[in-house]
Formats: sequence, C-alpha cells, structure tokens
Amino acid sequence: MHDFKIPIGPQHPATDESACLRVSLDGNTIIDSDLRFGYAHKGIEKLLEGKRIEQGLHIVDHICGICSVAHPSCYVKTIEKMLNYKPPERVKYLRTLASELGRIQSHLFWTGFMLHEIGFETMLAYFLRDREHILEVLERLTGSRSHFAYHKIRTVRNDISENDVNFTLKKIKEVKKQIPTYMKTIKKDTVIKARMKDVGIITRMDAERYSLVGPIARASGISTDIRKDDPYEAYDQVDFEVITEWDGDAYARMLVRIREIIESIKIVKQVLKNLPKGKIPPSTPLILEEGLELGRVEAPRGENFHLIKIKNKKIDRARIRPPTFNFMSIFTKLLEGRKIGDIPVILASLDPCYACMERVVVIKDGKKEVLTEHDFRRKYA
Amino acid sequence: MILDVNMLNIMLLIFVIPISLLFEGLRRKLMARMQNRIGPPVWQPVYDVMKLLQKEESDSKASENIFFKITPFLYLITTFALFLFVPFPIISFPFDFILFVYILILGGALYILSGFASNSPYGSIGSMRETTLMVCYEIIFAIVIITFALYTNIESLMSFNQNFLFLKLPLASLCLFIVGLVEMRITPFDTVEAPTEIIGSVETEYSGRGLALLEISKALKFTFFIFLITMLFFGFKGVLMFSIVSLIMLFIFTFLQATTCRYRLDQTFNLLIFVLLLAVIELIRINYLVW
Repeated sequence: MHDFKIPIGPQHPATDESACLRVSLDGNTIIDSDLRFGYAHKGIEKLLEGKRIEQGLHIVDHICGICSVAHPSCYVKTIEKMLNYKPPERVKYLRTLASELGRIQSHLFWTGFMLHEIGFETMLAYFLRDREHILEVLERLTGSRSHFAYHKIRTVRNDISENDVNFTLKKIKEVKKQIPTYMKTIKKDTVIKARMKDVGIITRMDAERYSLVGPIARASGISTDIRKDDPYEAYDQVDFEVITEWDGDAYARMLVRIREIIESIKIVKQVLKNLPKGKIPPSTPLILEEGLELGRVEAPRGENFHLIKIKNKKIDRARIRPPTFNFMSIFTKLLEGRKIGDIPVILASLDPCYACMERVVVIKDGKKEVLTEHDFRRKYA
Repeated sequence: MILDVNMLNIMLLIFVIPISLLFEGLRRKLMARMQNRIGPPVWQPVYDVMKLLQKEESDSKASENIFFKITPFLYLITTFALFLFVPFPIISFPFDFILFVYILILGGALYILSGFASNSPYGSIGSMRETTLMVCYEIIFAIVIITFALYTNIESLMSFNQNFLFLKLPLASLCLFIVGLVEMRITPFDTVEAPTEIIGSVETEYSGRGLALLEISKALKFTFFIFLITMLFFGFKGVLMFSIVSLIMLFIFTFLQATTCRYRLDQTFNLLIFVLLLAVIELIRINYLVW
C-alpha cells in the first residue's frame, strides 16, 4: 500500500462548513494531518470597527446561523456592563428563554448530524423534525427562524403573549416526549457504541491544557459552565444541573449534549412558569462616550467571549472568541493514529462552527494564508 | 447445455433494468416514509438515469485512461449476465453455479479496477476497501452457494426446486444475507461506499454516461441479490408468490438500512471473518453430521 494525501473539504459531506483538512495516510491509518481555514472568512472584527453600537449589534447577529442567540446575548451583556445598567426581571427571563431555546435547537441539530456522520440517516430526519418544533417557537417569539436578533441593548425585540406561552409549552412537551426514545436507541445500539466509544478521547488533563470549554470539557469531567460560574440573564434564579461525563470520548460528548437538552427544557419550563408580570422597556438611543469591557456567555458550544472597546461613541476594537477557537487546536492531535472512518466522527463530535471562528486571512501575491495572532504580529506588524 | 427459452425468461431479461430501477425507487420511497419524509416519486431513478445519459462527461485527467472509460460498460454487462442464472435460469449446464460465482467476482474486480483508474484518492480508497472486503465475502459467497448445491444435490441452478431451505440451512442463509448486505451497500455494511467518509468512493470521478451505467449496475445488483435470496431461501417458482416475497425482502432490507448505522472497515472485516467461520461450519455440518 502506498501513501495517500487526501483532502477532506472544503467541499465534503463530512464537513457542514468549509475548511480544508489534509490527511496523510499510511494505508488506512492517519499519520499526519493539517488543518487550513479561510473559506468562511467575513472580516467581522474589521467590519465592527468604526460602527455605532446599535449597528454593531446587527453585525454580531450575523456571525453564525446556529449560535445567533449567543453572540448578540454576549454583545448586549458587554455593552450593558459598560452602561452599568440592570435590565428589568421580565427582560432577563425573556432573554434566558431565547438562549435556552437556541441551545435546544443547536443540540438537537448537532445530535442528528453526528448520527448522520456514521450512516444513521433516520435519526437525522427525526432530530430535524423535533428541531422544527423549536424553530416554530423561536419564530413566534422573535419573528425569525435563523438570525433571531432578539436581544437589544437594554431590552428585547418582542414581548411574549399568553398564547405564545401555551404554544411554547405544547411544543416543548412534544420534544421532551421523544428524548427518552433517542436515549434508549443510543444506549442500546451496538453499532453506535462500536463507532463512538473510545474514539477521539480527550483526557481531563488535555482538556485543561488546551483550555477546552463547553460540552466537550464537560464530557471530560470538568464541571465548567458560565451559566453557573458567572451567572447572567436569569440563570441565578432557575434551577438546573451542570452535566458531566467522565469518558471524554465521542460517545460521552453525545450523552452530555442529549442530557443538556433535558436540562434546557427544564429551564424553559421554569422560565415560563415564573415569568414576571410587567412591560418590557422601549428601545431608546444610548449615549456612551468611552469604555472597555469584556463579557462571556455560555453558547451551545461553550464559552463565548467578547471584548469591546468604545471610543468617541464608535466601536474602536472588538475581539470575539467563539468556543470553536479552542477546539480546533486539539483536533489534529486527536486524529493521529486513527482510521479514515474516524475522521467524520471526531470532527463532528467537536461540533466545529467555522463561521464563528474565521478571523485573520492574509492574501498576498495571490497566496492565501491563515495566521494566528502571534504569527501575524511577527510577520506583518 | 440446455437452453430454456420461454416467455417468462425473455420478459424478465427485457424488463430487468426498469424493474431494478423501480425497486430502487421503491426503496427510496419506503426509506423516506420510515424517516417521516414524503420522498421522491417512485420513478425518480429512471428520470435520474435518463438525465445522466443525456449529459456530456466532464473532462478530467482520468478520462484519458482506457480502463476508466470501459469499466462501466463491462460492469453493467457482468451484472446483467447474472440474471441468466437467477431467478429463472435460461442457460443450464453441469456445475453452472461455479461460473455464476465467477461472474459475480468479475464484477467486483471491474469495480475495483474502475476505482483505481479514476485517478482520485477517494476512488482509490474505495477500491482498497472493496479489495479488503472482497477477500472475505466472495469466499463466503462461494462456500454458501456450494453448500446450497451440495445439500439439494443439484447439478445446475435450473434443477433447484426446494422450498423454505433457509429453515434447513440457517447458518448458510445468515451468511448469504450478510454477504448480500455488503454487496448491496446497505448499513451496517456499506463501508465501501460510505458517503460521509469518502464521498462517492469509486463514483467520485464519473459523470454523464459513465455514472448512469454505474447507477444502473448498482440497481441491478440490488435487485439481483433480492431475487437470489428469495430464490434460495423460499424457492417459489410462481411469478406472483415470487414477486410478493421479493417485495417483502425489499422492505426488510430498507428497514435494516433505516435503523442501523455503519461499521468501520476493520470492524466489518472482523465480523466477516466470523461469518466465514459460520459458513465453513455449515459446509462441514451438511457433509459429515446428520441433522
């Protein structure tokens, strides 16, 4: 058998977004891999510079289609920290509702997609059917199915009516009804176990060393969750559990995400039950001369971090670090010594979201290279 | 050599391609219904093949290779030739089932050749996987066919006339069923054509007419294994019963595809080794042990 070098991506069924993974093979085993980005670069941080704060919100909303609750939430949290503003309780609860619904739809989509990677098309269809319920709720709540734009500075876009509360409860119930069936399938199916157990193991030490966040760290036994560690919105007033598993493999990551769906449903129910009476404040123009603040929220994929600097009422510099940024550093390490068949499983189990992540691309003399901050400074600054 | 040409045989040979495309369409429709989708029309594979036949082939480096060009034709011919023996044999001569096994292996070899000739890493990997698995499953297939022939004491497939053999030869039937899954590319054994791992494997570089021929061959092979399993397991000679059982088998295969996921290459291989053991045990059992 001779050596191959095959490209996985930028167009490949295993990657839902475009990134290029070059894999060197010795027969059927991976000996080396190299990850290249730059296909989904939008220049979000540069776009944000020089914009007004309200304009910035719209740009942040369009970073990613799946995490489009998490990014505005983080941005709004950062700006409100600068303003020293505490929103009314009802607004806090409504924001929590949107965040959790966003998490449920992301996790449902991910689980279906993960099973599709190992050839279980039926599960993908079932999970998409269930995600549709959540999207319907989000459409009623925010008026949109993808880029929700629900969070606004000091307030939210729409209030929720009594009808919508009932509608949400009904739809949530339908989703919850299906979860035990899926859990049973995943726990009993031998083929799923054969494909996912002991694949892409991240030890607790590695998870700490690579500073992993979100469900992936939780699957390795680290109990980290911004909702508990640094509560925002109404997370300090609802009761939920931080899910952890100890195996650190693809199967544990799957279990963590499915169990998180159940926790999120619990939060949604509590929020709807305890929703404070009152009106949401109108959106008013804001005056903010200068400021520098950072904020972090728990996106579906993990910690989402925004650093925003305001100068002369305009955004001077914004730095956005989505959770995928942390995962991709460990990805190539996980692939070493595995078989070709494991690539989609490991890649999907990390749940990468390149659209969130793409930052610096240098195009010079027709050559394109993607750089880390350190390399960029050394070469071009 | 006996030539048994009657209306039924000729009709089957003429209409076997539409029938297999119809089976493929039925499979898709059933699959969609199991997945809560509406699914494409039943005749969608026919439209697909018609469209592909009209399209011109894309110009790639591989198209200079003579093997890349001719293998789809040869693959189609070999797959079509299998229907001379199954389910209603036209040609018959002593020990024709050995030729029949050879034709099946020839088809697999052509498939591998087209993958290596396609000059694409995915095609090469697909061929590599097929080679690895063929070492195992073609031997199982040969053993199973010989087991059936020895047990029924027939000289050619035409004189095969036993009903419900799968109750008398359970292990051999199980082995044939699993080989069928590997050949029909049905989960959990569709490792050769895993689309999320190696895109389209051998089909990656094909387009236009070449792809259409490969699609037809794939549908033919799918139908062939359904017919073969129906014929050997149940042995019905009447057209009506045969069709009904074939449709039931189609449903079973579709259900399997809808409810399982795919094994990795090494896992499939280990499992096939185990199946090979079962096939050998059955062969020994029918020769030396009284049931």
